Amino acid sequence: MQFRPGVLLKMFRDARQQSLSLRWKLAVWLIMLGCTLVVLVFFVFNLIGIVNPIERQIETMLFNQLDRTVSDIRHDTDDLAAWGISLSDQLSDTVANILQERRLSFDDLRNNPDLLNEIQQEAYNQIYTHMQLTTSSGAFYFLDTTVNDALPETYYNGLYLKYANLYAENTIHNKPCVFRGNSGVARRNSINLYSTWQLESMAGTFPQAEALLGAAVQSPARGYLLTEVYALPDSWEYVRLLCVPVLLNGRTIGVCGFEISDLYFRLVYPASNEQVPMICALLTETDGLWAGQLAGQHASTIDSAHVRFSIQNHGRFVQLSGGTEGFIGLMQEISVGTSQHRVAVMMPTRQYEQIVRESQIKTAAFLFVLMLLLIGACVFLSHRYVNPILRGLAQLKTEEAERQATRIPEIDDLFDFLSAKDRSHEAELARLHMENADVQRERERAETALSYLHAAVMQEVNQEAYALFCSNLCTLTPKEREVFDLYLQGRKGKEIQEILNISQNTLKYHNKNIYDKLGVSSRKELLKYATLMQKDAKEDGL
Amino acid sequence: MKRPLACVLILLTLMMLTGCQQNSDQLSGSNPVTLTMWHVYGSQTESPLNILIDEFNSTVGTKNGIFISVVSVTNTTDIDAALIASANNEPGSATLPDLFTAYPRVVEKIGADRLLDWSKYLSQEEIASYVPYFLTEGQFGDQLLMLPIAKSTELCFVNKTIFDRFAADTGVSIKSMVDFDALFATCNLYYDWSEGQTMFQINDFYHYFLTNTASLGGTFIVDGKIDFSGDAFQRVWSPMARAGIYGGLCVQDGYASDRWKTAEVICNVGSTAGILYLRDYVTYADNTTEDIETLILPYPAFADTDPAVVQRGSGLFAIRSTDKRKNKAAAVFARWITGGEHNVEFVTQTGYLPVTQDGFEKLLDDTGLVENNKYRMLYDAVSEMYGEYTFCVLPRYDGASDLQPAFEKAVKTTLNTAHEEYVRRTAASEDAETVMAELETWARAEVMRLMQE
Repeated sequence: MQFRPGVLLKMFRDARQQSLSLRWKLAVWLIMLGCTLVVLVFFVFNLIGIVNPIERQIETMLFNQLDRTVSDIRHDTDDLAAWGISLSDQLSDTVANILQERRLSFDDLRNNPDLLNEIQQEAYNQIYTHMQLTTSSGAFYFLDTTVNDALPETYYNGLYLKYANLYAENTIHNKPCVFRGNSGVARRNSINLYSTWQLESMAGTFPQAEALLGAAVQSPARGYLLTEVYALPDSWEYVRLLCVPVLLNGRTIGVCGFEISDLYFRLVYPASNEQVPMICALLTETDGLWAGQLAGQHASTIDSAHVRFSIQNHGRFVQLSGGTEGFIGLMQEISVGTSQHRVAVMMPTRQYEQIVRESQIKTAAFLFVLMLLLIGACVFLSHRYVNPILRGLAQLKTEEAERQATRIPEIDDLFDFLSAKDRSHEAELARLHMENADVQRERERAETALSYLHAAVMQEVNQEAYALFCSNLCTLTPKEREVFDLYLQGRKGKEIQEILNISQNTLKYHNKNIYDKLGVSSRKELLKYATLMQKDAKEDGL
Repeated sequence: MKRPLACVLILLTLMMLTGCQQNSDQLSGSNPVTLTMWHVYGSQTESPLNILIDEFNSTVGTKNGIFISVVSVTNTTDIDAALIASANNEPGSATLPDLFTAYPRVVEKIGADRLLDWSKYLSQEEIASYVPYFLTEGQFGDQLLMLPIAKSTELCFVNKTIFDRFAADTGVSIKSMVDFDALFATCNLYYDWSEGQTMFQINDFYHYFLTNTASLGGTFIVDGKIDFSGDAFQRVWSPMARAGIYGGLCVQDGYASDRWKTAEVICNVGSTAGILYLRDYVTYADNTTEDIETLILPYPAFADTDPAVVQRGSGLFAIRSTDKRKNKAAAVFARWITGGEHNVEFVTQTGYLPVTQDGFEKLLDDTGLVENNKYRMLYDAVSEMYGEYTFCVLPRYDGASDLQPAFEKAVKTTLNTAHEEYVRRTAASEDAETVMAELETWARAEVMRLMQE
């Protein structure tokens, strides 16, 4: 059933026209007042921001999280870059010193495993110390050389350490292991090899890092970058590398830097919000699509290693589509050295819609409950208020003696007023009764006197003349009859002239004819016979 | 008429009000609970447990509002140190996870009162489905603190490719790998043949002494201390120590799987779970690689003894939470991961043994269920041992968690020193057998001294 506004208005008008009891009228007015107040309060709260729509709350939460995450990532990458530059300088010195001691050039390191192992051993403490000082899951350096260039594939020699365990914080309980490097270095430093350890890094594993080897760079600070995400060979891990060029005499001889693994990213940038399943992401563009590392409770359910997002504006949010589900969120650009990235804070569109829907249902339920309570309260209050009044009014039907005080001053005053009125009316009635009795008595006395007078007149009247009068009455013309009747009503000559609109002479003419026909000589005699005739007619009628 | 209407309205209101409030003790898909987890299955390789956890999160977890977040994949040694540091709130330690896998020895350090008693969250029927023998390790008084998730035993792994080259040159038989006396003698032959390379590594000397002393009828641990006095100890000690002093037995730190990668050892005894880390190729110093064939044999034994082998496995623990939902969620996950199908799938990818009676019997009755040849060989070897070997559980006593690594370190340090001394003195033309006898006696005394400190 649909309620159109016109139909509702008609129902309201009909209800108004019907007479409602005092109780229901009061309840309806109270309900209307309550509803108006509720709507007004909601409107004012909404206007001054106390009540926020869930969409705006989510936007604020996402915005705050984005602000925090951007700030953290910017701080951490700046920190990594600074320590990376420091590591680059130290590695340059280490390689330069070893080469200088032996009067060798960098190219002499190729196919020289002993010297490359010596560099690794020297660099171990530098790498491990920098790794402990930074927000990273590993640290590395690679040189543009190898222990064996006779192999079909190209390799880069260097040392790549990773933490064996990862926690949200880098702790002193975190042991490193060798992911790439000489196994002897691991033995000498009492650490294990990574389970997918290799002696050197194969070309093509980290393309962006390798691209730095051939680039002309003025200083490490001018050439560092944060790579896209790479899969670590034979591992379940995906990593980004912050790469800083290692220079020797103006030549880029290698790359060093730090690793941020997917797991580490997730631990360090927890997007924790119990209300909203937020995901923080550091994304990098490749071929128009965005991919990267994700953090947050919901992030683990997404195949972050393979999902590629396309980005579109969507109202106040951006929409990220990729994988099996869509996301909405906010984004901000961030640059790390020469590389550009975007930080995104997002949530699944499905859950966003669910939260909005749940919020709407809750608000509607709240309003419904509030309305039920309001109606109940109004009905209750109207009953409480009107019932004593009705009981008071009901007492009006009882005898005054039986009435009790109502505890409502207005009704008690009304009772007093009505009692006073009653008493006044009764006194008046008594006076009227007495007056009536007097009038009756006067009337009886007058009737008696009239009877005596009638009898006396009848004795004085000439019976023949009276008989003639009565018999000739029918001979009067209509006009004469009118004049006669007016005389009987007690009208004077002037009045008769005005009523009949006749002149004095005409009246005199009619008078003469009437007198002649009825056998009287004066108006006094005419009225005397007429009165007798009326008296007789009344007595005959009785 | 008015009263029923009022009752309905009140009821409706109450229902709506209560409907807006979540029941704080119930698991719900719309109000998920996250459990952090440290485990030891897979280390940095593709972790089969991580894959199973992903499956749990996307199925049962999503339905019940449980999300397992793996925040550390490590090994049984490192996890102990990290857990103990976290439990003691030491500076620089990480926050304790909600779930972790570890050996029962950590209970003593962490404190039983901080751990969840699984028996309160699992039915009697569910508990009865586990192999009873496997439950005993996790039973502390009347509390079941460790739930078996996977069990391992020890086997002998051989780099057959290099061993065959060695055997072809020296005439040594692969049969020497089944008898400890022959095995240690072969180590020394290999040391000579390879010009100073170690051949064999024992991953856990404590296990070696515990099982072999038992197989000889002795007792390794008496009143919470090592019994160095018995004949059985000397019988187990002597050939091992001699191989260590000579150089054929690796007595340095580190896992055998690391040296397996570089062919610095070609044979080791260790956990069945080690198979995950024993790759099918070796890398040499010039970065060249060689594909190898792996042979998996039963755990060696001394001749004429009742062979014994360790049966153990890290189990699943949960930190008892004041949030009842976390405790319930941990139980849901534990039930799922140790349930028949998932458990067999998990253990056959990691080299472990199932923990439920059904799974255990099913796998050992028909190892053909395992598709991978190398893993099938492993289960064949385990199957061969069942019925012939005595399976030992590590004894629990005060100080066990300290004694075990201390003994390991004492043996390795002492024999390493003895080996260097042996090399130095024989290079100086001293009589090899006299030096060996002296160093063997010294080493035993030194280990005893170190353990009494």
